[in-house]
Amino acid sequence: MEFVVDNFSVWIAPEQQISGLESLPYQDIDLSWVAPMQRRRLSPFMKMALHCMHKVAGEQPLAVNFSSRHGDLPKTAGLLDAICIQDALSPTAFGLSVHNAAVGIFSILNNNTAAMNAIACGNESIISTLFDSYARLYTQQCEQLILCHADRALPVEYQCFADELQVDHSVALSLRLAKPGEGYFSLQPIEFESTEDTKQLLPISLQFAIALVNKTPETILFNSQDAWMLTFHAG
Amino acid sequence: MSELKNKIKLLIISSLDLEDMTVADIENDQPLFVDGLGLDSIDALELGLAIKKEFNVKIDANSEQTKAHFASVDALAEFIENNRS
Repeated sequence: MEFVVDNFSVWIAPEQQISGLESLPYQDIDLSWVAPMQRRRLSPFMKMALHCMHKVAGEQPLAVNFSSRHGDLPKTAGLLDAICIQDALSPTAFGLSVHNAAVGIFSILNNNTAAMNAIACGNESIISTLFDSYARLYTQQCEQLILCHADRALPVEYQCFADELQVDHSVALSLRLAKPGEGYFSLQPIEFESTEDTKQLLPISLQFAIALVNKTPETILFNSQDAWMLTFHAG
Repeated sequence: MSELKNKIKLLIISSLDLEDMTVADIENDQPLFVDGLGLDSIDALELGLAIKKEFNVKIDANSEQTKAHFASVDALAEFIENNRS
């Protein structure tokens, strides 16, 4: 699978003290392009996703492939808590908790009628979304698209299930196929056995972001089950 | 009644996350929806839920009169005063 990343944006919550994140630049979330009456409804998850999507897409009506392992889990967990105590559900929280809410809001705010996908595929969500993005580009459904991945740290009551480091983060990439003679990335599955404690690994989305920021020629992206070689081929 | 109206205004601000707005910014007779405060149909659902929880008032979503009860803080206060248990 070969693709070009024209530009990208990464946001991580500033208060997180996790080794490996030092190379990622901190930026304030900028949602000045969203009207205040719409901005007030956005959760922290939605805000970080919209920030990165807008940074990369600007006003261009590009298709978006949205990826998240858990979606807006703090919001979903709040709804589940309300159900447990037989409290009434907030209509706004319910409506904005669905997996495609972030891209739905993004399309509405930008009057963007391009195709929007929302994908969840465990701790390999961003890899599956890259494959889906490549398929859409390769079959010429679009010439360029935005891939956005966002996840928040698991709420306290779910942290016993954590199998990787928990980081509030969002990453957006502008993807297209390479033109002849142009530099590009390739991603290939590889055999790789990690000796590290996989619970101490960064999510693949952040491994990918760090490779982009550092312009690393070859990076192994891996989790507890699988590994991929991300290679930059200079033009 | 004015205490109730202030409570309603605070509830509107908190339940609808109205950033940068205070009780003083909402007039008692100001329309809450569309041209007035600018609230929309999702806000109506959210506000209905908040009023039900806070004042133990039953709101009939299918009633034609419900729209009139939600017209302004004045109308809401009168409705709550007459219906809370």
